[in-house]
Amino acid sequence: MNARGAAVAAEIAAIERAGPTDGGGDAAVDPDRTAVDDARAGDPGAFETLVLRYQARVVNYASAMVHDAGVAEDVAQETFVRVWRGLERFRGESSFRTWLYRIATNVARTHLDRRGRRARIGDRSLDDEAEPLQAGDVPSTAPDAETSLVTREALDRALAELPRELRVALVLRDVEGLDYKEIAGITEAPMGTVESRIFRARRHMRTLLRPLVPAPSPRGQAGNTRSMHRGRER
Amino acid sequence: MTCQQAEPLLARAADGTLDAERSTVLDRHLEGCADCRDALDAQRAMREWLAARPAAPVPPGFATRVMANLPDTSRRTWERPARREPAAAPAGWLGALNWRAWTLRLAPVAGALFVGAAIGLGPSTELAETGVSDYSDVVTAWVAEGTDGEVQDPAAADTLLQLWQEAAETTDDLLLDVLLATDPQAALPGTNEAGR
Repeated sequence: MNARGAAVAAEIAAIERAGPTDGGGDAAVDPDRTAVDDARAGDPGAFETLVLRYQARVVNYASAMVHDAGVAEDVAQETFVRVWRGLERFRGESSFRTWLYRIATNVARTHLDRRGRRARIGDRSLDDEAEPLQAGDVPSTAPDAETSLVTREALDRALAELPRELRVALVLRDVEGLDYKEIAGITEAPMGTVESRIFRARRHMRTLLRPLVPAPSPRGQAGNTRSMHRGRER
Repeated sequence: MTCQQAEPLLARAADGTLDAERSTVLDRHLEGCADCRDALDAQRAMREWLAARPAAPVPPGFATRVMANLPDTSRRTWERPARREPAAAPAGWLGALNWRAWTLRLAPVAGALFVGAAIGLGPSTELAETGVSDYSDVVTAWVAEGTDGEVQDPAAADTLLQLWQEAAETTDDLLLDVLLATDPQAALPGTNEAGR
């Protein structure tokens, strides 16, 4: 890692240590503000800083949304190009991160719509395209390093089965770790709708993976909401 | 509370992000609803699985390709800074340190030195005809000009001009580079009154 890469990595670590700010979407304390202002003024170096800061998130998000590594890179590339073009219109009413995810979501939706049209033209539905998950696709315990690729592949195949808006909400919440307020901002949906979509998406995933993931062990306090730890929010 | 009303709260409860008021209401419902208790456990299980999903790696060179694919930045004009006017040079001897003015004045000297190095130092027939014995004399006379831009030795200036014209026939590219390295708008005598 060169000096610039190390500096950006340290900056990212500092931002993530600071955690979300009022739902992660508060533009008033946007940690990206300086870099965004410089990029808007035409500074490619400032924009490159933003790319390096968010490339891992955007690539991972695209990967979970489109379930194809090559296509995911295309979606991520197009996202950053659209961000660069759209900086003129970005007024900081949301955080840069929220705006970035909104663009990535729109690019992914466009791709999924295009793929859906191609599938219909080929007289195949998306359901036909997906193969049912088998017992060997997912390890029976939580993933470790050796099974990580198998696990990601199986989870992404299951995610690909979800209706589009359920997938968006679930990936933003459980894969990307965004909070509900920020997801509502990205998807421009009411908070209750976001909560409902995440519930239904998890239930759908549980159905898809039921033969593969063992049922949760009985809990002494099953159903007690106060026994849960705080959610993972980045 | 019905099971349908409980569903969105179950998602929040699985995350541990349900506020205290709604948590109390949901707990009351869960005490009497086995289906929703199972649903809450399923929500927790899927959340844990997805949270543990290994991140997709960033392809090598991704950021470089992004930067290479950006549209031309010259089209980004909405906040382009206005062209900076040349700063006024300080009065007195500090004015003589105006680097822009000196860049232009010394550019022909640099060109002459380069030509001299290229064709070999020493007196030439052309120089002998003009009475100047060496390029160093030309340089000395040229640098000796006053800070007001008036050349002190017109003969030396003519010689240098002659050298320049001859050199231009064979070293156009070099001289073009020298000229492009200067800012004529900022340094031409008479165009920058503030620099006087």
